[in-house]
Amino acid sequence: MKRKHFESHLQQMVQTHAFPKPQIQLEQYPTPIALAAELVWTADQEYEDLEEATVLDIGCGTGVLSIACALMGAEHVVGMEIDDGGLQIAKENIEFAELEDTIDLVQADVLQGPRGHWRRKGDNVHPFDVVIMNPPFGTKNNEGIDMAFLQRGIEYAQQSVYSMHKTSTRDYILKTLQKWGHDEVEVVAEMKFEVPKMYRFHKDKSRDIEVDLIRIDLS
Amino acid sequence: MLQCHVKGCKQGYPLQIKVSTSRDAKQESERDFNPEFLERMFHRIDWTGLLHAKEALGIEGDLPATAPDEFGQLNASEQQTLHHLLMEVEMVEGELVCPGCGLEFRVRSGIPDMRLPEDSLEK
Repeated sequence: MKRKHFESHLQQMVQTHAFPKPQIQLEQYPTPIALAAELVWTADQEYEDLEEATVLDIGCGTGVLSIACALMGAEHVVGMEIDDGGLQIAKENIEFAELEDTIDLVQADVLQGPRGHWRRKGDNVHPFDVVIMNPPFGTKNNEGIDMAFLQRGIEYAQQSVYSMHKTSTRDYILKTLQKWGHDEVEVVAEMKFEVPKMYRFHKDKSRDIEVDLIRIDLS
Repeated sequence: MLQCHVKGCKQGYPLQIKVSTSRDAKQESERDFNPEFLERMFHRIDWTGLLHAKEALGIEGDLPATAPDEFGQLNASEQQTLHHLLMEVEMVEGELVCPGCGLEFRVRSGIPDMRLPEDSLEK
């Protein structure tokens, strides 16, 4: 399968691609299909991270990334999301794509942390092979939330974490990860993220934001 | 939802499963038996939690009281039971109860709500 074929396949498998009532405090933007395809394609084709893997999608929103992973051959995907509206759409999307057997949803607040859930004390077994996320960028009165997502991801993943961040924050993110002891971090793609006019404070019709796709190697 | 090796079996103190008494509270489906996958998952399973889950969900079949070192040491019927429990059974309606503090997490339409109430965060 070719990259563009995968993208159009993904497009067809996603029924609803918008939040019915976007909530600004959660920074809800739908992950563009092209970005989801890029992340999953890179993870599979370049790093062979997805075949038969268990995957956690932190802040899964409408479930686009989870669906992309399942289509690419992940054995089991868990989508974690705090918002009822997002979860409802995700559930419908997963049913539409007939991926109920592969993808499970959990309602949880990423910031509340694992508190023992999904983690065994005292050993180094992490519940998921791979963690993927399109975290909030942390620009709307929730500074640092992107790093909190990353921190969770690293706790849950055995092998690798994939995440998207504003290119303008690259230095900060790489430096912080290094401080946490992660040197094996790569910017694996640079992409443009089109933010449509969704909220009242948006002046322009839509705006392109430059986004890095990063991969943290934990193996 | 205990089909999910992650949720049910991963807690240091496995959540107790209470399946709702309504008719469609539990769903069973069929998935291909994938021994390679189970083999890799095997070491991530909290065996006590798994046995609790099996009982709570009313799943038939044999499983040893303690986990062997390797997946391959389970006999064929035990392997099938594990496959069924992990991959094919889902709790749709019910609660997950923390054996430590008694906190209940509701499961609705197959989605467990793991959000913690505000007052439990201050501890």
